[in-house]
Amino acid sequence: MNFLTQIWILILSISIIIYLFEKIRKQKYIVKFSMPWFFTFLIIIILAIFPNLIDIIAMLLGIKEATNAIFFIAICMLVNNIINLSFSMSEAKKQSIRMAQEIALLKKDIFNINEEITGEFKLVQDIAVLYNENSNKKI
Amino acid sequence: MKKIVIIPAYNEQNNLIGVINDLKTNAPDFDYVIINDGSTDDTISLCSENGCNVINLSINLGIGASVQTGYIYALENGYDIAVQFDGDGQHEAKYLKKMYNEMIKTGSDMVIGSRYLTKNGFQSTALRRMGIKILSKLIKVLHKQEIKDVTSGLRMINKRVMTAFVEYYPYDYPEPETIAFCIRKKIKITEVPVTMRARREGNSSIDSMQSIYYMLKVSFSIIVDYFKRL
Repeated sequence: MNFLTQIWILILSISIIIYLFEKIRKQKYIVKFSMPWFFTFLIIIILAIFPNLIDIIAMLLGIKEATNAIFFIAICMLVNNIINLSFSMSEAKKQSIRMAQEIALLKKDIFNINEEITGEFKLVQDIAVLYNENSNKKI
Repeated sequence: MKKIVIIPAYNEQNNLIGVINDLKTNAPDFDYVIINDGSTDDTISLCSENGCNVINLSINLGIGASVQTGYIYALENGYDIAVQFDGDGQHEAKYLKKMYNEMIKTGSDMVIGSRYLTKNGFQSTALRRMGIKILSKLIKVLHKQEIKDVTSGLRMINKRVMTAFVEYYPYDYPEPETIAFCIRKKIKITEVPVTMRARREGNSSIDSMQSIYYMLKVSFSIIVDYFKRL
């Protein structure tokens, strides 16, 4: 691997790691979801520092070109991360549906309670009016 | 026995009142609740004007989650029997009594109103009938029980099934998968012949373009369900 390429990969990876780190520090990103990406870029950094590792991996995988081995590893890691994302999405969907259901049921409960209260309130009002009318008559 | 009819409704302003009136006259001993699945038409105002018993979901969750909301409501309010009943006027309330009698007589946990036992009334298009037949065969092969009308949205269930459905209910195209799920859980299912009307207004939740996806998705979920543990 070209020395210049190595430098560029290092700069890119480190800046992405810093970016993700900043997001977490500002509480805009949950640590749980950042872990696969930190892991991914850590591996990329290791490979950029020790390019000989890529040759070994390429040999083990039976891939002639070291560059192709890099692509292969990168795609594997991306697929892993994306599948994990769709798991999280599915979980989030399940949770949001249950929440929407609970909210709808709560709204219904509140509506019923309101009806009851206004009903009782009207009853009290009616009684008060009747009472007033009667007491006026007596006078 | 407290009985309730759950009516999932998404943009059914033209059909809903007819359905409610049908229920009030032909099945007076059943309570009802409309699950308004985030409709964008006047369903909400229509329901409040007519004083209907309605649960309004703020966002469109799809048929499965709507019906599940109804089951949660039914359980929380101590109902023993719940009926899923389409809000589009396809189903007729006069069959509820028949289904209820069948449920008591056979001691079933679930009674399905089936279009294909006597083959009267609206039978759906040939392509759709074929799809339903394939799904029915798939369930028969996997679970050794034949249910003719696996996609019927007219189903009566008891508390046991309600509890199971509150725990898990598929979100889209739920009917055939839940039948496989119920047979696997040793829930006793019987079918009762009913006739259904063609939809009066609006479109079915499944259009022809989605049919292939529907078949694939439902077959896949039935097969996956087969491999779930009890």
